[in-house]
Amino acid sequence: MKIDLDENILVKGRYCLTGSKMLYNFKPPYSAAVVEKILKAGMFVAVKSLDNADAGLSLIFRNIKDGVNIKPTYGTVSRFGVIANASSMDSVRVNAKNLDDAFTVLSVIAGSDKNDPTLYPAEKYNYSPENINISELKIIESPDFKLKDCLLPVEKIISSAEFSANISRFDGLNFGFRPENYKNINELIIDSRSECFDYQTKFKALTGAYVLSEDNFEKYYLKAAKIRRLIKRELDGIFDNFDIIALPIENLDIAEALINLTGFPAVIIKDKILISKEFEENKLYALGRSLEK
Amino acid sequence: MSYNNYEIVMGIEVHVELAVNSKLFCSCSAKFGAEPNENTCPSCLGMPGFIPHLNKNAVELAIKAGLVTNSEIAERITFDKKNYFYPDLPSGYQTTQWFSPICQNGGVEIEIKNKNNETETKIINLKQIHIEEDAGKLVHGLNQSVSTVDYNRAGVPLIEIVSQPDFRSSEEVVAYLQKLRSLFIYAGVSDCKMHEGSMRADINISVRKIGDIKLGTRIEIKNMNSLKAIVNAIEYEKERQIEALETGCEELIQETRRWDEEKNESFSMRTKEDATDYRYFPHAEVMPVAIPKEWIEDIKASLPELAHQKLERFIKQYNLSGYDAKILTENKRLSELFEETTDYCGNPKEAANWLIVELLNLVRNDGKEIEDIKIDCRKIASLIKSVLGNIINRPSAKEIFEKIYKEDADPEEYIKENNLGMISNRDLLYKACEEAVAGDPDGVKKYKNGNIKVFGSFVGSVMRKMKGKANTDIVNGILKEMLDGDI
Amino acid sequence: MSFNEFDTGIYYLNLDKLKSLVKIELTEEEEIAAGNYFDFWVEKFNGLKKIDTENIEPLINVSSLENIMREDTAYKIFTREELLENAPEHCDGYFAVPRIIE
Repeated sequence: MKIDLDENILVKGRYCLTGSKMLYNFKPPYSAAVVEKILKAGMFVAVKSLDNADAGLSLIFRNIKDGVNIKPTYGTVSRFGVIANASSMDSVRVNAKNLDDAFTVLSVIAGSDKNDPTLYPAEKYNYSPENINISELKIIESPDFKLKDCLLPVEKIISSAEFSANISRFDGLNFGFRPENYKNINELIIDSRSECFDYQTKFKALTGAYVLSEDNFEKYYLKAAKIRRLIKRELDGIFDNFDIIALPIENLDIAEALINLTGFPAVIIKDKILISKEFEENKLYALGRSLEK
Repeated sequence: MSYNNYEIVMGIEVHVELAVNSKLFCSCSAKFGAEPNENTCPSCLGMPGFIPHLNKNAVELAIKAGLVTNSEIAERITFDKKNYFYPDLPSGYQTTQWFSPICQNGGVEIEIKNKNNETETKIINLKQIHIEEDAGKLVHGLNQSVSTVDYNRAGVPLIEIVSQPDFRSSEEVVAYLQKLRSLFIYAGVSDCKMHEGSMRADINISVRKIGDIKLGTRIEIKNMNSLKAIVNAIEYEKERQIEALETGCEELIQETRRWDEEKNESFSMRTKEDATDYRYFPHAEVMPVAIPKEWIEDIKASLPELAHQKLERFIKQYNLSGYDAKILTENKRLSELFEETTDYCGNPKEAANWLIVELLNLVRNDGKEIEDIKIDCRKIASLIKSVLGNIINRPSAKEIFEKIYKEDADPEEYIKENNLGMISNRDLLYKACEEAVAGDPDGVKKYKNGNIKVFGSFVGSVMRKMKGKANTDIVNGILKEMLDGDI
Repeated sequence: MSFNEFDTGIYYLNLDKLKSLVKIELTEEEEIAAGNYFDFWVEKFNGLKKIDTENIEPLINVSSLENIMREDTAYKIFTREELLENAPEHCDGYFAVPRIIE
């Protein structure tokens, strides 16, 4: 199996091809854990080069036209060697032609890694759909829940805050892009970052600084973090009575926010987003399979 | 100018590097003195993709610091990000504990001399102790066009001890720092070497008229690298601030100033346009640490005997005076040298004497610290045995002690080689005393008239005749007989 | 820029201060777009005020894991050369940055 890596995933000795110019000349002396695991399993990794972008299996979520996408339970796939976005939400995902392929890859990349101490023990993971009786699964479509309207702003606040701190390391000093002319160190840092970051990155960083600033910390960041707990509670409550939440693909942004804030696993297949409780990927697999047919 | 109606009010923030093997969140060595950037890895250099992994020993040492300062230990701690840009900060944020410091409300007892030169105790209250990571080191001057950075220190675990503004004099500050140092060295928390940067103090100083309740403008002073510099800085600032208030020659603003020990002045550090907003927020990748009572009890039980406990034991066990016991236990290493020497020679009083009088003197003259010197206690013990066994006299022993300290000389060999064996032959000594007394009739007269000091010159005369090897006890006895008994 | 009031939808935005905190500059177009961006999102953020969060602890990480610590052993994996390779400028084993005047 040949696997494409998203640019956020670092490969030892290879130039990092993030969309940002910042790391254009950065050759990490280390590979992401998922890369090591894939190679160890005898699979191939296709590293995008400037000349040819291979098709195949890509290892992170993108807007898929066809195929399936798995977002595993937060804390089951090592984030080592993956450039951090929002640390409490980041999840390496698998995008594949079909569920079997996707779960094959997931089984390889998930599980313990000496460089990521935040992973749950592998005993908890469930990837085999065999023992699941689909007719017994309780599915709820587009459930109504009180905090639905909070999902997007809460996600925005928390992810921007974490993102802005995570990209502070990109300053052109120890590694990465450095512009040609600068008068002093302050100018160097500002020029490096301003030249390299696209406007989305800049806005996210500014938003992060905004919600964390002294005057705003309590009313935005802290508030959002508290609502996050309420959201998790509410969703836990739904999962007390149901196995799977199904949302239409039109609600992708809400689904994303929900998944990111709660850490629940999800499978995106055809025009549906299926979400389950933690460690119940096997139910998603089973249901997803039936939809595939 | 002396302004007696003002008092100085100070608070201190002490940064102490923990005595760990590895850094706070990565496994790079935390040891001092390596070649630049030898103790670094992608994590502490701020490269992307690394996940922090908390050093358990760092947490335990911080708890120890809290225990020896009678602080309350938090039940649960988390870490936070403090955001700002500076070249010595590879990630663009420092990981610290803004929302949940590991210790709070401790106190340190200090001893100071009051106006009547009596010893008083005072408790310095602590606001908190928290864990944070150190930054790298900017090194200027290697090259004209660039500044260079060494990240060996980046990520080394620190504890910051924040005191309440309880200090009223530089003596109190020095006493506090020395006490803190002693506590932490004893507990194994840190080696607290100011000259290596493992202990740093920033002082917040303000002045006010005595009787005022309101605090004056608070000014922070940084960059004092020794106790002497701290005292100088405090005295300078006190004068500067009082003069500013009295004469209006300059305006006092809340700021950070840098102490220049060479110029003996403090300078305003470049102020940024706005006071920077650090945007503290929880570090999502470092999971919380629960600190149950059992863990704290285990750590408490593992604490070595502390200074004050040792002091009490030394008085009881070795029958030492309180004064001697205090000197011996103030410094952990000295106390260990004492016990080892006593083990070998069996005479604690002698051991105490030689260490307190001779060793401390030699070390001080060398400008060193006890922790830095190497000395063989077996040899000191052998020397003591030679003195007690009347093989050599004390002046010779003193000479040999210095040789042990400087050259690791073996006392028995040295005595043989230099023929320092004491002369205890009464006839020989009697003859020498006779000669000494006969040779100085003026001296005899002075002695009989009550000038006791002159006795020493007779002893000296005999010692010279005996080439320094006379048994001084016997000589003293003979001379006294001759001088007192004679009519 | 206007002063802050949750309910009226007006808020205080010091974009220059935020830019200096995160060390970035915006082009003219980006400045305008940023204004619109903040207008849109701050309104949504302010909408959160009506949710009752009294006595609720903030949720920082959904993981239930705690006390993740390691033994205090030091070891070296990367050589200094490997680590300096990516440095834009270095000399004599140090990372080099433009001269800083303190």
